[in-house]
Amino acid sequence: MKPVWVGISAIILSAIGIAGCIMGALSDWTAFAHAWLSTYVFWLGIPLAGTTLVLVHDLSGGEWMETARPALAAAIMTMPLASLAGIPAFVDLKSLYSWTSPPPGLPNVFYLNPTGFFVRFGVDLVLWNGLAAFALWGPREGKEPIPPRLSWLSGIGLIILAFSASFAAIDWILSLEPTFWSSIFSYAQLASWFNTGMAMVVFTVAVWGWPTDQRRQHMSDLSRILLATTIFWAYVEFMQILIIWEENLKTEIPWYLKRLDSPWHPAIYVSAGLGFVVPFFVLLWAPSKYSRGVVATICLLILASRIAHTWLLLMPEFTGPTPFWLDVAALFALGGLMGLLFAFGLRDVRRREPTGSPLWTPDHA
Amino acid sequence: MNELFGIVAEFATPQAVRTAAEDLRRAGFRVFEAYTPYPVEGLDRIIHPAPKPVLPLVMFAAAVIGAGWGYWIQFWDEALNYPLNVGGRPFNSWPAFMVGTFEFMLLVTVAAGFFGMLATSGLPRLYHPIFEANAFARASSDRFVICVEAIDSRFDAAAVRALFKRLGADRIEEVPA
Repeated sequence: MKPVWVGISAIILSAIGIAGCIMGALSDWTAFAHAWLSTYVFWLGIPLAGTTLVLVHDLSGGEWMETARPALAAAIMTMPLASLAGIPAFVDLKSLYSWTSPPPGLPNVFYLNPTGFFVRFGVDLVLWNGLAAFALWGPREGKEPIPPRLSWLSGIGLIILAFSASFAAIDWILSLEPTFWSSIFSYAQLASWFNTGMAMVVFTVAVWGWPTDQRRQHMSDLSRILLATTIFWAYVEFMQILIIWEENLKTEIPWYLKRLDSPWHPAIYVSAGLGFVVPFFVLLWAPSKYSRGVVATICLLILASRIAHTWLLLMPEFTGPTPFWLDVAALFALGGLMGLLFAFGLRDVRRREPTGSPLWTPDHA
Repeated sequence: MNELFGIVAEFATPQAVRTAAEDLRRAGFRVFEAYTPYPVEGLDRIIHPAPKPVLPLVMFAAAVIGAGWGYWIQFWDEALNYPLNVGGRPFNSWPAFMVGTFEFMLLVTVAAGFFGMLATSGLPRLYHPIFEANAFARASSDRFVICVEAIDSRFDAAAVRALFKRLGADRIEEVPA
């Protein structure tokens, strides 16, 4: 498919999605807010993961960056859109979070209050876009990480990113149930975000064509990273279940029961099956990491699993169920815009590439 | 004439031994081995172009067996042999069994990998005919040694000697079996 067709289909998808969202918002703002929060949380993973991987590479190095750099740059370029996209959902906090009118005796109102929420949202926006700019425009070239004298910046950036994204996960997702607390929850959400973006980046790398076998090696390296982080996600997610299951506390168990008893129950199997079981057993076998078709398929499955996971986290918390078409419309509305920006980012990065044979040509696309 | 194990050639540089390996393979030889003081980039792929997937398969099978075994131990103990009501949870409490299952899977897999590695490399082995070669003494410090073994179907002592000479070997010698 030529890039121009990617762009056109993205615009059409987005237009349909936005029309659906407008219809939904006019008839029921609360339902729209729920759907929009889900799409926001899902798509945010792409720029967050892109920024994270570039900063990690600054510290670790790795040949694979030569192939991954354009896709990562395109992912990072979506940061302004992806981070600001939360605003429609947060316009009316009352429609999302019960702690906006806290029941008497809720002990954590010093943290969970609208002022604090918006201050943290603003700080996140500034930090993330700053780090994205640093990851995008820092002095790096091809597979080379940032010069050693600047690598301390990447280290600090990663720590900032981990903390701010953890707070964001707590604010936006965990606080839907203000009495529930799980200290490992942020890790699970960070891993989920990373897998979302990583699946997008590796998918882009896989559907590209390459002139050399070396690129195939890079793709297998990236698949290895993806395999490791899907294992990590499954590990922390399972640890959360195990600990809560063993504690058997009245304040924690209902969080899971609510999901088991909701219409979103099947999403558990999509999330765990496509997000861990299938990728784990497929990518475990070495030759599959070198096959573009297999890697691209696995990445799509992981993306699907992350959508299901996001819905599973958010939707059962809302008492008035959102119509499913509205959830999908919101997903497309933001997803189309993200895809458009991502495709532009790819082209833009390609144009700035100084040497080497073009990766994105009509025969490869 | 004595029975031969093979013919050994000694080279001074890693490039030379790699070229020699490539030429041997191109000439149709299959059973030859290089002995170098450190891993020479690409040499293993020239001598063994397609690694046998035996060990990974053995380890995967061991992982499946180990996981089943580990789960069975806990299931047998907690649900069949000595069922104990812990906080009203089911006797077959799979979330709690997962940690033990995982650990036991690791134990069996790593053990299979360790012993499988020894078996596929023919270890432990206290003696090897290559020890008799004088050239072998420096293969662990600063020389690169390659040996064509007599069991190769194309082996012919004179031809191999000629090939090594053409490749510029510093020393060529026969190794008795």
